[in-house]
Amino acid sequence: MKKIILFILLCLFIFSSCVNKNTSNENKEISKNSNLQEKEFVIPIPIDLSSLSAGVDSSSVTKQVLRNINEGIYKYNSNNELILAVAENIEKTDFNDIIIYLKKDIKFHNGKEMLADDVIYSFKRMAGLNKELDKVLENAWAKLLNSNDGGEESNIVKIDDYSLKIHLNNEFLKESASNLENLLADVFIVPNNVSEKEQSLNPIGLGAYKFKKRNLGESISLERFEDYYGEKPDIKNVKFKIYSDNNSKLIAFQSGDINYIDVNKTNIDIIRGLSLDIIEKPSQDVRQIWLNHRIKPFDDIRVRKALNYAIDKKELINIANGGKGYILDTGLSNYNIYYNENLNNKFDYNPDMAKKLLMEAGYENGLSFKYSIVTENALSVDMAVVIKEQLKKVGINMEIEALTWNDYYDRIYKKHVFEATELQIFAYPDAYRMLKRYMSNVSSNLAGYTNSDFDKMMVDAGRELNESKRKEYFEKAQQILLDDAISVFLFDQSNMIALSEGYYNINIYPFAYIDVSSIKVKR
Amino acid sequence: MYVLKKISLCIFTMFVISIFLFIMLNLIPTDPVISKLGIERINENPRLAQKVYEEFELDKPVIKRYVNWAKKVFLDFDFGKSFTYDDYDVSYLIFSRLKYTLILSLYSFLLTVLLGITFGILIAKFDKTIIGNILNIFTQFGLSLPNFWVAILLLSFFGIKLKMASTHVEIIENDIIKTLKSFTLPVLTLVIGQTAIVSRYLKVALLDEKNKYYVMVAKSKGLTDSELMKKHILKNALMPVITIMGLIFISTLTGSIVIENVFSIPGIGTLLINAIKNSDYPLIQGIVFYYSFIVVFSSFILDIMYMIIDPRIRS
Repeated sequence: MKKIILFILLCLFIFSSCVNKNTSNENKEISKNSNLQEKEFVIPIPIDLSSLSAGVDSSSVTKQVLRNINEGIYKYNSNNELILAVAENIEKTDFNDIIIYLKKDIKFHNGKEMLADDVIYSFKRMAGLNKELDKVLENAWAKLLNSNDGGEESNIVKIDDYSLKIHLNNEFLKESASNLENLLADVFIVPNNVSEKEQSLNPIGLGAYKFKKRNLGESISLERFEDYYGEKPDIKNVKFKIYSDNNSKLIAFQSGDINYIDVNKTNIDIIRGLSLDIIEKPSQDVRQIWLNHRIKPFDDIRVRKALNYAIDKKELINIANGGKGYILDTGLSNYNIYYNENLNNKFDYNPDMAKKLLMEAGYENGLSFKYSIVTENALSVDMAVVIKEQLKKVGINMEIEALTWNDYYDRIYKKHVFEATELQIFAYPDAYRMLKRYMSNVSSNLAGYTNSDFDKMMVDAGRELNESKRKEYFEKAQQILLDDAISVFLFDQSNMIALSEGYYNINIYPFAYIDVSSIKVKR
Repeated sequence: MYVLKKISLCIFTMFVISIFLFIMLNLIPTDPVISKLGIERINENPRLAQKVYEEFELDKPVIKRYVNWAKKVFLDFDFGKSFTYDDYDVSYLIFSRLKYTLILSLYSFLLTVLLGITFGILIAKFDKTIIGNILNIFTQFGLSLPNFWVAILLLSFFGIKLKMASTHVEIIENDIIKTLKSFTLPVLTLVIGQTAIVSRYLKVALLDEKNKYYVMVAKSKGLTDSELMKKHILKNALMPVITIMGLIFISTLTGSIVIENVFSIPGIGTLLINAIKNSDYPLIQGIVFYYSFIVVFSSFILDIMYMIIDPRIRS
């Protein structure tokens, strides 16, 4: 018996010794004495990265991490404006040609100086001209470098070590002229003397952070690049750690094991309870109800308008998204630089008007339709319930159909077989990319919307290199979308982030990027 | 002869599993290329999508794909490349995660054996007394509490409230103590439930043995209670418990998916979940094949053990 008791005590002793009794003391010591700049800043990510090589994996998580390691010719500042990054100047010599002048003494993470050869190599790599990679990473670059009218790779030529000339061929200009700056921002510059295999295991870029270590399936560690050409970040070491479970992520944040968390409807009260500031900015994503114009009743503009009047967007935001979000009137966020601030005839909540329009359209006894959503998207599910109740008030019976993403993609996104559906359009600063999905000949035009005026406006905007004229085209295009009540544009659900004690500020962008360099340490 | 028969049966089982596995995965109406590239990218760059189809032979008939896959698996132990992880083979991915699962399994199994047997003996010894009843209530709790809930409770209490334990695990090179420390909470979560199972099975088996005639005979010959327990009862009562412990070990070795998810342990379980989310067929096939191998191999070892303990089985 004694032996058994002794044995149990021994087991308990072993176990209790394994529990880290000193953690709390260590933490206190760290917060008191150690510099937060030196401490590793831990950011949770939901899944592991498919590839560390620049541009190879297009998933948003990969971009969130790799934008810290890589940079392009342009980048975005905290106001979401494009600014020159590693280029000193860009000169447009004529309609078809641009010359990029590079900054001098800019170093890659491996110590090599960035030269024009590296930039040319990076562009060709995107266009699928790197034999080792053998993949077209960006179609626009493939068009630019492989077209028939410009003479293959000669469309991009080196002038000297710090300048290069790009000849924009007509095929490229037809679609991507206005998008050139964004395309230049999206091409990460990599050194031409590092193999693709090496890049995928130990990526080398020009960014503020350099790759340190990867524990497959667990974490990716970066460290501050001391020779970075721009402003040096406050945080020295950063770790992107995989947390697939939201509850564990919250517990880890509460215990101080991670320093960054996305705030949402489910965790906002707990985060507020920790007395931490919540940084909030519009996500610029567009949440909207797509109505299928190819079929009844949505081929009738009066029905589409009725739906727009029947939905109380403010109430929708309050109930479905905990009061956080920005009402949208058109296919572009109010915070996009091309947003039309003078939109006329907006649809304010007016159930009487909705009823009147339905009556005019011949639906005085109400109407029914099927509303398809992606079941994995929790916010979509919550929104559907609220919208169903709101529409009931004007005599519309909405049947909710929840589909898995794969089914949704096949039937709705690809084949356009649906009546009405809610789909989140992820933000991008380029208005052309956001609005081109409503053009008649585009496969992602779910609604089947056709309007030659809108198409013309977009084609003109795409070709236009003059900034103010381009803005004018985009503004007109937005007004057309509103006038035709093409969809019910709902809201931008906003981005909210909390940082652990001792840290403040982070720049939030309308695309996938956790900008660690913008996080500041309180002193 | 018996061993050879068992080995050939194992190989045949693995072969049948491989066919079922391949066919069932191919019946799922999802397009893995969508998961890999995303819709926007496929729309913008159809050439890239076509290249992926060709690279992973998705444009070939299922039978041809199976034959190519089975050849590689059975002859070279090569499960191919992952859809999701561009730069890694499936075998490498499984083995890189195996260390986390192995630590979790072995650490929790060891503690389960020690605590389960001890508690089992104590409960049997104090059967129908207050101590026995209290211990019974504890094991009842251990059995009925869902382990994800226990995990959250432990994380909240030891991780947030007391700040005594880390909320995440990590393998620190050349520092086994720190590594084991970081595994404390997930191991504790597993041990609570598993100890309850083992101790209750052992208690029943011990009480069963105690009432057998040979025990009475031994007692009448003058053996003390502790001698009886050590030399006769425990040995015989352990037979059914070994089976249960074997099953527990298999279940942790094949990845405690819930525990790995809650504690963000990059083990086999989380790898499988992510592979399913990403429709990463080569990886799913590799992991399920690994699971099958563990189960078939463990059953084989158990059969051999039974054969050694009870030679009658051979005939």
